[in-house]
Amino acid sequence: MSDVTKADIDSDIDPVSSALAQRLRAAAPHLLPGGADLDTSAGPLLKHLVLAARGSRRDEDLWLLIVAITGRFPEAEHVRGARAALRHSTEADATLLLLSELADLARHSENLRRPMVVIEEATVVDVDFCARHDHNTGIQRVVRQTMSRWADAYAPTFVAWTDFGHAMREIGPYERKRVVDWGTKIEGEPEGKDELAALPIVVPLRSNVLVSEVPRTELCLAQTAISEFSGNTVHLIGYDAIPIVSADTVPHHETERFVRYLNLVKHATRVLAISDAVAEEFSGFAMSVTAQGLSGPKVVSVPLPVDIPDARPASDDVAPAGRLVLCVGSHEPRKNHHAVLFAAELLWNEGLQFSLRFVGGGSIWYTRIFDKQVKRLQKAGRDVQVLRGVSDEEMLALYREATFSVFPSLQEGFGLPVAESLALNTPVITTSYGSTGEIARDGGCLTVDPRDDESIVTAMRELLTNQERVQELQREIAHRPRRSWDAYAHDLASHVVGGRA
Amino acid sequence: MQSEPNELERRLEEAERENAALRAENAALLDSQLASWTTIVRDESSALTQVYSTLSWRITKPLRDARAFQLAVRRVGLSSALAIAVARVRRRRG
Repeated sequence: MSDVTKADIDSDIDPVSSALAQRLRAAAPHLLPGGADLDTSAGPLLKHLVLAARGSRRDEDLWLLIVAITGRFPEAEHVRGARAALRHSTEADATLLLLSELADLARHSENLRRPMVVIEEATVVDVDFCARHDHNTGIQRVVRQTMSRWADAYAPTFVAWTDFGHAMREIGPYERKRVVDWGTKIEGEPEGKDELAALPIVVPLRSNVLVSEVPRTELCLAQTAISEFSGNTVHLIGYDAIPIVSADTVPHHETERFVRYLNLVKHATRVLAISDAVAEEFSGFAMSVTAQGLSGPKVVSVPLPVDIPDARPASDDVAPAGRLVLCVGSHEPRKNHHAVLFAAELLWNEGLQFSLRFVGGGSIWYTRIFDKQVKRLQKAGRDVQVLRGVSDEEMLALYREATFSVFPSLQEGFGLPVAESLALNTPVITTSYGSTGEIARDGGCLTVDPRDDESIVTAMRELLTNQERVQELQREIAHRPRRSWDAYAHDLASHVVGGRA
Repeated sequence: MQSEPNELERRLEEAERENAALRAENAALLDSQLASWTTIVRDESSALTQVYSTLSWRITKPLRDARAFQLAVRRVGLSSALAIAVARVRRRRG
């Protein structure tokens, strides 16, 4: 995708100046549509660009010029400061005033040596975390399943952010594989620091930008400015509002990060919520921002599928013999795993025989308490294990082997473990309300009040002692309406690709 | 009669040369202005980078981290500060 060539870079000047010259030339065709003299040197070209941005009524022109000069995606205060500097300028001093205004932003820029490419009227997907990391739970599963399908069908431009979050950049070949080829064995080595530092900044213009993850805290203000000033249409996948609406169940820093994210939400064009329950949460927030004179984003429900993730062939030797109860999900209070353990202990004490497997990691502050409980039960001879670092294919094999799975989470954005269990014909005991309640309505689930331990005990006892009930739920699963990852990817694309508001 | 057009042509050429020279001078001034700005920005940026890469900055990092942790404990309490620290380490390690 990169159109940066060596010709862009004058070998006889330092890398910072040559990169700056390249970025100004990349911006020129967009700021000087009447024709830019790209043979001119950087100084006169900058003057033309500054006067064009000064005379323009469009914020996107100034936003683009700031990126070109500093190698950084500005925050709202930077754009406003630059706008004010140009308003107070004359043609003669406009360049100097703007450079002076942007000096502080530039001197802290990590991208002074980085070139830039501008892409117009494209679909740009921010996959920062999935490209940079191997972690693969809820949000990453959604992004990877969806983008592996988009890659061929819509050829979007995938971007990550530079280390300190100063600008969007191209992703490297290995990073791309992490996003679109997750289901296969990824060959090769991850990009080194130098290779990543050489990847150009990507500047979208008049494009559809999809923020597919909940961004790092340090990206939120720059992303908000993209929404406010860049002229791009910004779409978000809305996963949940748990860090705000159930702040008591998450660490403080998650809430702080989410508050920053909400600043982006209020300026976004569209939130594509992963369930009706999440759509209601975001709609409530969108309505609340009218008090600030903003219209808020349009919130649309695009429910996730009840389907299994793409994975390598399953191995068969991960499940124990006999009745297996499976509980998938990270270890945090909201997932209510202690209630499952409590119910299991009661049922073991009643004389029921079954194996219990928890699959999922979590913060050491939660896992150490949980692991103590598990060890106590193991010492008492109970067949319970916590499996961490389980691959997708091993997890799918466990779902297939399980008599049923248990997912009595106190709150979810969607509940992928419920969907994946059902997609593999395994009944689920899950929460009666919210997004898991939505999934359960189509059959195959026993619903419980997760705040009532006795309700969980009763449901587990029923499925452990009544094989006919299990078979009945399996028949219900067979009659559920099917919705695949292909369908989800297509529906999501119908709101984003080529759909500028 | 013929000398008048010749004279006009000569004066036009001279004006064009003068114009080109002024343009070049102006371009050089603008380049110089941008170069000065770039030098200042680059040098200050490198100065910061150099500070960050000095031995003293690196060996005192644990002290700064400890101070940051102490402040975090004051702000959000011990357990949350620990959780934040663990999350940071994990994020760094990917």
